[in-house]
Amino acid sequence: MLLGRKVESGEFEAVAVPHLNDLYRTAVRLVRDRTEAQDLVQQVYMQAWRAFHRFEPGTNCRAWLFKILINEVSHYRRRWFNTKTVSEGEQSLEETLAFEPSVPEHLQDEDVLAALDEIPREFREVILLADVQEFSYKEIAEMLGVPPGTVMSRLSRGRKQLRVRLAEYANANGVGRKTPEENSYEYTEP
Amino acid sequence: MNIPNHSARLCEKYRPYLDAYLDHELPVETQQEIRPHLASCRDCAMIFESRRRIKELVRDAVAREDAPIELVEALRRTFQS
Repeated sequence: MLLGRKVESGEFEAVAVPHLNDLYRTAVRLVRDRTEAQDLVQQVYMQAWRAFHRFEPGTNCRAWLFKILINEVSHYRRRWFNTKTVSEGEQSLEETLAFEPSVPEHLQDEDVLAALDEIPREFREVILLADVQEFSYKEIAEMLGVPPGTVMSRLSRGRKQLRVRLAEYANANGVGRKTPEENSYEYTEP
Repeated sequence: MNIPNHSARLCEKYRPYLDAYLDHELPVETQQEIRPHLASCRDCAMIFESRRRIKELVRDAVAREDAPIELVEALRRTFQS
């Protein structure tokens, strides 16, 4: 029994622990608090460990761990906050963007992260999963329990809000310039 | 034949799919349709390049932070006990 558990523990470490940094980075950006992110990631590993007997070797362990993380973050949000969803003001912000700003030169990581942190979680979530973790729309849809079209729509709107924030930074620092008009050309979910 | 209007119609048609094109999420035939448009339309090419760069900036900025050593050690202790 003890030997069996040790073997399982080693197997679990080998397949699950290599994803620790990716899980932690995503958690930090989702909850915007490093201490909470550490607790969440520990919860993810404890849950994954408890359910590891159901995990099929050879399947996508990374996607499985991220799905647990997304669930944990949702529970965390429900415990502590009224989940911030897309407000009318934010929608209006997207709609009134009359140009696609080019990326300002000399952006620092802190500027990019500050802009990312400002956008609503449901958009930030898909940006992190698609742009940083490079999951496919189908994988993200499965993690979030939404159709792939919703992932595509949230990603499009999230990236647009991110461009707005970066443009605001650019305007404040006098480093932005306008690029072609793009209103009404965005992807909207059918 | 009105070339600018034709071009604008193509921009209108393809721009909603630039994000999915960037993510390699479109069917091959749609990608093959968009590729020549990006090669010939300066505006769409600029927009695409801008989005590609933002994606890269976000990925690099987020990936710069590693899990703290105390978290790594806490997990190691958990699984070695």
